[in-house]
Amino acid sequence: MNEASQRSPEQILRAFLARHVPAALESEEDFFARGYVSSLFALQLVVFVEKQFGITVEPEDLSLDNFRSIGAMERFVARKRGVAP
Amino acid sequence: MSEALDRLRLALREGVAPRVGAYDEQGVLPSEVVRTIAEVGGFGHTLPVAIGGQGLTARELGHAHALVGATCASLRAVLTVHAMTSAAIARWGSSAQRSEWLPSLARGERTAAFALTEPGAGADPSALSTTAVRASSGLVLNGQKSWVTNGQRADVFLVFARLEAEPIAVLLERSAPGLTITPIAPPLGLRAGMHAELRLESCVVPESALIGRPGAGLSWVAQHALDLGRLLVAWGCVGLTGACLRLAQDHARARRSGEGVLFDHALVRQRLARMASGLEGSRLICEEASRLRDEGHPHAIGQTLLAKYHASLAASEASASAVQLLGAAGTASLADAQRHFRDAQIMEIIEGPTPVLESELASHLSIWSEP
Repeated sequence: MNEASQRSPEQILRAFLARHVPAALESEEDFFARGYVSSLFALQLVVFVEKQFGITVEPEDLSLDNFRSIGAMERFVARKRGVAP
Repeated sequence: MSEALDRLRLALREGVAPRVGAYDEQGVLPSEVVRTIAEVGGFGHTLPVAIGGQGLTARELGHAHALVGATCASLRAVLTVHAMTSAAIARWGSSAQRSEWLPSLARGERTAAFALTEPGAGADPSALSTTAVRASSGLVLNGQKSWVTNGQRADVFLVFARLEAEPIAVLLERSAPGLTITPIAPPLGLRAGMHAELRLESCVVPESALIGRPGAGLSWVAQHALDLGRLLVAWGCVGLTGACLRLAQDHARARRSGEGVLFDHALVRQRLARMASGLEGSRLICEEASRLRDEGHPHAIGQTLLAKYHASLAASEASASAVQLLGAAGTASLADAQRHFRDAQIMEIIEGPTPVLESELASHLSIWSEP
């Protein structure tokens, strides 16, 4: 079993963000608006969700609305995998 | 892999190296050089085999750029911006854009450039002030771009602008009405990089020229390209540093000094040891950045920042040492050492100046600090 099937997407996302964001995050807290992350972080999130969840981020998915909070990324990953969040 | 690299090595040795000093002095990379490298697939290294590219891994691509960087840093810069724009089209372009551009870019029949920097927005791209406005004819662009490497020759430019407040990336063809391209006089280093300034005066592109959606221009399209650019500049620095070490070592072993040769002096040996240490550190950090990139690992981005940072500093130091060790011969017109020294100065500035990289690196410390 791989890591992704043992832990929920939320737990995986929280663990990743904990290494990059210097504060505990509410599920809908916008860590870009809070200024917690550098300009390269949006790209890093794309690389991370593709690798971790086996999805492909398409050009039309490139919106901060899909990446700005843990909740937004959970919903995005669920939609890409075709499952309910 | 080895075949593509062997072909490249031969093309560089026979078609570039013999006149590299003249390209630098005159500030021109002749079109024969572009054709020579295109014939061995150099413009398609990053692109998939299916569309006529070489499909190299990041590791192979790195080794290719080290070979080019050891011979001609200006050519390396041209190949880097071409690869950056090609990669942005391959990753974030529409299928129509990919089939329109990638096959000819892969063969080097057309070449690309990357137009982000502006007179008022260099290391901080968010200061971008080129504007785009929607009109019935498409997007109307106004603004100015500076230091566009390969701008004197490129058939297509990846241009960054703001549509209302949102950053966008668009493909702008050389023939677009309203686009004026002015060559920039050869600068301190990368003199044959064919740099140009672009003036966009009510320059119209169709909406279909957008790469990615509005809002994605900087965070994703530019950063994806710059991430690749940093890796390729870093590997180019590995090549340049290696070339400096070979020059310095050969000279130190051959040059008579007192009863022996320069190589016998402790201070000379110390310099050579520092050059070797800088070179090997750069090479290993670059190898790791390439490995992480080939794996799709999220640490690849931070490791690549470190690679560019370390390798450009090592290249700066090694090229200065080479000039000093070679003495007057290293400073002569057309001498390789002085060209490497000037080129290395530019390596520290492009794709993120050293102080900007230091600040960015501090956001990635967990990659190296975690036990």
